[in-house]
Amino acid sequence: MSTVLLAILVASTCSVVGVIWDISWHRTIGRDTFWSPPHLAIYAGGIVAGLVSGVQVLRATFGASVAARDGAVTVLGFRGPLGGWLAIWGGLAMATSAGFDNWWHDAYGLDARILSPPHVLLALGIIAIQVGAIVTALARQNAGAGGASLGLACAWSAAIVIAMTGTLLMNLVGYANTMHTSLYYIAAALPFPLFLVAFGQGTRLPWPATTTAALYMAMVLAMVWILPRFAGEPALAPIYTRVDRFVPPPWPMLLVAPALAVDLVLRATPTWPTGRRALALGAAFVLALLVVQWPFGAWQLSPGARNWFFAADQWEFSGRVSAWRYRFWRWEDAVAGAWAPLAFAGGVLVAIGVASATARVGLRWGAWMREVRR
Amino acid sequence: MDARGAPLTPPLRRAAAGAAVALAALAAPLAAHVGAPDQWFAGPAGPYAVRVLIRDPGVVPGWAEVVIRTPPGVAQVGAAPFFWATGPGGAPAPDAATAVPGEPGLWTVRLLFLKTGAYGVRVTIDGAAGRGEVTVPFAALPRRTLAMDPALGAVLGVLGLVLVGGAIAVIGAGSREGTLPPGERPDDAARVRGRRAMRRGAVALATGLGIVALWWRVEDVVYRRNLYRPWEAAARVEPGPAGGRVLVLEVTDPRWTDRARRDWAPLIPDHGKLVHAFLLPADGGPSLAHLHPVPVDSSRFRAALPPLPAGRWRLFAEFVTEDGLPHTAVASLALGAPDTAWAPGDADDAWHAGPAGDGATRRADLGDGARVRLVGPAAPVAGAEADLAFEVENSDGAPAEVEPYLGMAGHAVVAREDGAVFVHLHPAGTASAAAAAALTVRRLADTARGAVAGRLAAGDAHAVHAAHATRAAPARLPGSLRFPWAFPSPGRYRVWVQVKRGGAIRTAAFELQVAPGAPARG
Repeated sequence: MSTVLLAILVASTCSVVGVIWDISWHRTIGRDTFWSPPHLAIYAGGIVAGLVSGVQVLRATFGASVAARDGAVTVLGFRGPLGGWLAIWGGLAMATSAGFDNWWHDAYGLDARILSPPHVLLALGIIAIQVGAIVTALARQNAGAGGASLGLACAWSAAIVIAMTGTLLMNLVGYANTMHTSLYYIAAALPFPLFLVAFGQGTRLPWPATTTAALYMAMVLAMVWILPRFAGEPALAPIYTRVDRFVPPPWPMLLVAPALAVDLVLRATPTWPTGRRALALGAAFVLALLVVQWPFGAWQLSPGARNWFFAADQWEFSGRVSAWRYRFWRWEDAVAGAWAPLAFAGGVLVAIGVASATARVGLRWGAWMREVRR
Repeated sequence: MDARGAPLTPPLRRAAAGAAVALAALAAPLAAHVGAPDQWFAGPAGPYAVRVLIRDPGVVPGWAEVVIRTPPGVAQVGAAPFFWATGPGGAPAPDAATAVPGEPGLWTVRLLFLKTGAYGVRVTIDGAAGRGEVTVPFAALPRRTLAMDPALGAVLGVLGLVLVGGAIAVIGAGSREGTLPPGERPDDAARVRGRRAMRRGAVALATGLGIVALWWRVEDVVYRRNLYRPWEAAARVEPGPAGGRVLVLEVTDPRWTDRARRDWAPLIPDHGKLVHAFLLPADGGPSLAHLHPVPVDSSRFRAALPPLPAGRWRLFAEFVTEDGLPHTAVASLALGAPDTAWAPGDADDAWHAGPAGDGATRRADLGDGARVRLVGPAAPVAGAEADLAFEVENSDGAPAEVEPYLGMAGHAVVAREDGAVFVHLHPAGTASAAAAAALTVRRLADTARGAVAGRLAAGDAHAVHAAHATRAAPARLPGSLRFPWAFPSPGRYRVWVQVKRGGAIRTAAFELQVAPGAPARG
C-alpha cells in the first residue's frame, strides 16, 4: 500500500472518529469550542488529506514523473488523481464551513444540532475526503497492484462512509427505540443500499459488501466500547441526567445481514436486467435488515442490554429522560391506531421502493467503481 | 468592604466579533425589561459585597460574559449556570473566573447558556472570610440576529463559487478521464461524456443549493419569529365602583393566555406584588405612576388610577413567572381629564405629576421639604457602566433618611423618551428577587405547575433570598442611593427615583442626555 493511500485512509479515519467523538462530546460535556479535541481530529483529517493531495497535484502537474501525470485527471488545467481532487475539494469545503458555521453561531446561536446548513457543508467536505479515499483505493486496486490488502483498503474506506452516514442519521437509524417503526427502514433504505451495492461491485473481495459492513460495525463498536472508558462530565446546564463517562454512540446497525443479502443477490443475478436486479437488491436489503433489526431493537430495550457490551439506554446529560426511553417510538401507533400493523407494512413497502431506487444508482456507481483507474 | 462603587466594565471589551458584525435592524423592542437585556446585581454573597454583570449574548445557545467585582482578599471566584427546570442541582461544576490583570477584585468568566428560558447563575466567592454564594437570575432569550458582514460575505461567496465550480470540474474530470487507462488521452466520446456529467452535476448542485437556500430562509424566519418580544396587552380606564377611575390591564398575549403551552408558568409575587405597573407619559414628560394591579381573573388586572393628567400614556407592566422568568407587558392608553378622587388600591401605589428636576443643579424636590440630588452619572455614555446615584437631602443640604419602600431604600425607573428602553431598577440591580428565589428553591422533582410557587408562598427556608431580604429591613435607611447600571443606547432618558418618607412614597424626576459610546447592542 502506498504512503499516499495510507495517509488518505488515516485522514479519512481521523475525520469519522472525530465526528463520532464530537457527538459523544456534545452528549457528555456539551460545551463546544472550535478547538475541542474532536474538532481537531476532524479538521486534522481534512488538513492531512488536503495537503497530501495538494502535493500530488503539484507533482502530477509540474513534476517530472510521467506515471504521476498519466495517472491523473485534468481539473482547471491542473493534473491530479481523482481521489486527490475530491480530498482537496473536501478540505476547501471544510474550511469554508468553519467560517460559515462561526457566523451561524453568532447569528442564530451555537446550534447543538447535527443538521444545519454550515454543518451540511462540513459533512459534504468530510464525505468528499472519504469518497476521495475510496477512489484512491479503488484506482490502485483496479490498476492491478497489491491484492487483498488493497481490497481491504477499499472496504475500509467504504466502511468509513457508511459510519459517517449512519452517524449523521443517528436520530433515525441509531436508537433502538426507532427499530419498530417503518421510518427506520425507509431512512436506512436511502443511503445504505446505494453504498453496499456500489461497494459490493467495486471492491474486489470474495464478500465485498459483507466485509465492508463488518468493518463498519467493528469501527463503531470500537467507539462504543472505548469512549466510555474515559471520564467526562457536563460543563453546561441544564443537567437532567448526570453522566461521568463519555456517552457512547448507539450500537451500530446490524448491516452485515443485509450486506450478506446484497452480496448473495449480486452473485446470483449478474445477467438480470438492471431494474429487476435493483428491485431484488432493494427487497433483499430491507427484508434482511428487518429480520435482524426488529428483534435486536427489542433486545436493546430490555434490561439485559444495559451493560458495557450493548451500551443500551445511554442518554445525553441535557435530555429529560422519562418512560419514553424504554418504549418504541412509532408514528404508526400515533397515526393509524388499530391499523398500525398495516401502516407498518405499507412503510416497509415504501422502504423497499426507496432501497430499489438507491440500489439502482448503486449498480451504476459500482460499475464505474470497477473501472476507475486514476 | 463595599465594592459597589468600583465599575465593572472599563477594562473589558465586547467580543471582537461583536464589533465586526453589523446589527440587523430589529422592529420589536427588546424585553424582559425593555431594551436593556444585560443583568446587573449588587449585593452580598455571604460575607462579600459583590457586583455581578451578565452580558446578554443575544442568541441561544450563546456565550455570555459574566463580570464579577469582589472586595480585596478574595482568592477564587467561580460561576455556574443552572436551568430553571432542574434547579441548582442541575448545575455543572463552577467555572473559575480569571482575575483581570491590573484590576484588583475584577474577575471575568464566560458561561454558555444552552436553552431558552430562565437560568440562575450561581456565583461562588472563596477568600479570607470563607465561602460566599449568591444566585443571580438571568433570562436566556434570543433577542437579535446578525446580518453577514460584507467582507465575510465576500470571502464566503468566493469560496462558495470555487467550491461549486470545483465540484463541477471534478465531476467532469472523473467522468471524462477517471476510467481511462493511464496515459490514454480522452477521445471525443469521453469529452461528450464529461460535458454531460458536468451539466447533470450543475443541475444537481443548483437543486441542492436551492434546497439549502430555502432551508436557510426557513431557519431564519423561524428564528426571527421566536425572538423575544414583550407580552402583548391592552389597557383601558373604567369608572370605579365608588367613584374615581380604574385602570384595567388585560394581558392578551398567547404566551400568557394559552395555558396549554409547555412553557406556561403561573405568576409569583415580586416584592409582594403580582404586578408592578408603570404609567409613563408618551411624550416623554416627567410624570409617573407606579401601581400594583390585582387580578380580576386569569388575564385581567385592575388598580385604582391616580389623578394623572390627560394625555397618551405608555404602560409597562412587570411580572415574574414561577420558572423565574421576568416578563414585561406593554400597552398604551389615553387618559381624559383627571378625577380628583383616588383611593389607592394598594398602600404602595404611588404617582407623580410634578415638574422635572432642575437640569442645572440636578436637584428635584420631593414635595415634603426634602429634595433628591442626582450625583451620577455626570456625563452618561451608552454602554459605559455608570451607576445611577442619588442623595436625599434636607432643604439645607444635610443628608436625609428614607424609609424602606417595598423592602429597599428606593426604586429607580429608567425610560428612553421614545419608550424603546424601560427598566425598573433596585439598589440590588436589575435582577428580580422573586426570580432568584424561585430558581433557588426549584428541585428536579418539581414538575407540577405551582409547586414552587406554593413553597415560596409557604416561606421556604431558602426563599428569602439573602440579597433581597425584605422583612429584615430597618425602619430607617440612609438616603444615599446607588443603582448599578449602564445605559444601553444613546438618547434622551427620563429617570425617576422613588423613596418613602413619612409614610408617603415620593418621586423625583430627572432628564439625562446619554451620548453615543462604544458600539453597543440594542
